[in-house]
Amino acid sequence: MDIIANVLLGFRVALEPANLLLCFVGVLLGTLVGVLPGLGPVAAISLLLPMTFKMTAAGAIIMLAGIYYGAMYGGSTTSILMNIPGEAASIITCLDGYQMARQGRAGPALGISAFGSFIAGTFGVLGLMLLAPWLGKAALKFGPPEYLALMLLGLTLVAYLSHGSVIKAFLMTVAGLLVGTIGTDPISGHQRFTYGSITLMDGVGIVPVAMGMFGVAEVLENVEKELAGEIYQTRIKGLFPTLKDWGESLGAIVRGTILGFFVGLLPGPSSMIASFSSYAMEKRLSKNPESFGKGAIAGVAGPESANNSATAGAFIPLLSLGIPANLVMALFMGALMIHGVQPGPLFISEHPDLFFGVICSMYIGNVMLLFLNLPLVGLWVRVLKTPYFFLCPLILLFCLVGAYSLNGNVVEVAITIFFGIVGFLLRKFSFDGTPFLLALVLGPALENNLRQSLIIARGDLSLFFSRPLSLILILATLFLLFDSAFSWFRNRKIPSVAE
Amino acid sequence: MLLALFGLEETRKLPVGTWKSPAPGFFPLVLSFLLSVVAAFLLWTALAKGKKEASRIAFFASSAGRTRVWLTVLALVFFNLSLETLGFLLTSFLFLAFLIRVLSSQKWMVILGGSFLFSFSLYVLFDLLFKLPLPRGVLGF
Repeated sequence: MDIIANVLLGFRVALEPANLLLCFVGVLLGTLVGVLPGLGPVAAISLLLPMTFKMTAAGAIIMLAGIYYGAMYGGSTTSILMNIPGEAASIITCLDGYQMARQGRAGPALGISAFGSFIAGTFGVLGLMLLAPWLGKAALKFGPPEYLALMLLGLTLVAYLSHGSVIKAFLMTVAGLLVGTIGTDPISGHQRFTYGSITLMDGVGIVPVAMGMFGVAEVLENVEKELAGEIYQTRIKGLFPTLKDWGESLGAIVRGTILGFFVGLLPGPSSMIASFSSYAMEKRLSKNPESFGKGAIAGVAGPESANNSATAGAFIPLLSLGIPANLVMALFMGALMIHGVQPGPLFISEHPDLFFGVICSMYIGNVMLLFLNLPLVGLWVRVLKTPYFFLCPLILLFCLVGAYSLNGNVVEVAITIFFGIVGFLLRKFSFDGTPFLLALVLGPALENNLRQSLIIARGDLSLFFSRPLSLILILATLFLLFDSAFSWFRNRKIPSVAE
Repeated sequence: MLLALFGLEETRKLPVGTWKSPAPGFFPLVLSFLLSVVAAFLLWTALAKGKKEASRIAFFASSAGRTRVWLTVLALVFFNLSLETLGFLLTSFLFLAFLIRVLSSQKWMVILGGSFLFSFSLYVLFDLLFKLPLPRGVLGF
């Protein structure tokens, strides 16, 4: 009965005209961001975060959430029509989606992608609604050692799953933690690495860094390479999948939904991992695995469903534990804190209207997206033709203005530009910025829990091994570290296996 | 490595405390040390690999690409230095016009018209609609 009352409360919040409009704006912008290659949800949410200052907390999160799951819907459009993924989670859709378009089946590909995303998104939100409150209650039993161990596991997992070199990812994680110490020490009030700068006394903000590393750096990369893609020129017809298409896709959608939801709980690029894992699973389970890569509809349905349900799953660690599982969640954490809301075990009990309001708006948003993606696909194709020489400068300007508007401080603009150049250089040397940014966000909380744990234990590290949950988490972290080291040594000994 | 060495040097000025009672310098010191170890290891593997691989990969894909990137960075620095002096409208107009010219060979009317339209739209969006004041500059707008 409690949950029914909360859901009704949630719908009351979600159906307020202002929140309904913000939901629509969010999903529309999200689809646009997903459609446009080169601008992912991280950069988009960073750009739009300053605009949410004047909104209520519920309105802000509703709009930003709409951008996040809207981008998952939109990303499939460019994958299918241009063979260029709109965002990372849609990379795998290129394999079969584009082949379906070349066979004159762009319509069913787009259609099954939209319907699969809708079904998965809806069930994902249901899972979020049921699991998050339960996990929040369980997390009340966590102490500083458990939180520390969980954060260490999260950061290690992000580095472990990062694309490219694991050593580089670990380097970025430690660098992010170090940069996160800049500012005023919250316990003693000591200034660390501030050099008298009032701006740096508050630490290095996540928004300017995110806009720099993922907005400015992305544009610099595009400016260098002059990204251009060929849109598959055909009249898109038959958006509604046939019964045969449904027969071939339904299993993939169900499996993708369940897989994606649980993968979404894990730290790291969960949407991308979910879509890749779903593709691998469908290919393995298929009676005709050789058809994958040549236009198999299950190769579109499964991954697109998985990445959408992963977006719902990713909210759970943030809202119930206060730990962001990926970059987008880190920005959500920033947005909540800007509005004076602390995510964590007490979030749901203290702000049921906010939690259930956002959940219910996600149901509504999924319905909106179904209507946006199918009839408006022609419009999105036209948007894809926007010249890059207009888009790139505009994205840069958005980043810079967004940085300035945070505090009316030109130093934040300089930080954005600095991290934009750093981000560009990191990409050139194949360093992934994701572990850096996540570490920057988690660093202060991690340090706080570490110091509290050491004070409680009076310097005795066996505290972490004497508490069961902390022990499990620490062992999992050590396992990942040893596995990374072992893989590295093994690849060094037998380089041909690695190739 | 530079960041690690910088961190190690700067944390000497902070109280470190002990395991039982860590002070503000404790965590940065541990991280700086860890960073220096990982960075040294990465440097060693890169140097070892460099001896085996004779080919050199160009940093920029093309000289035209390199020029575009440098000019874009220049535009970004200009924006930062001029924003509060010239004001948002003029700075963003010049910024956009310069970049569109760098990235395309459009006619000047298109460049100037588009730059004005976008910079004014952003001014309306941020300053008037979202009430996030943007700098006016010495010219008053």
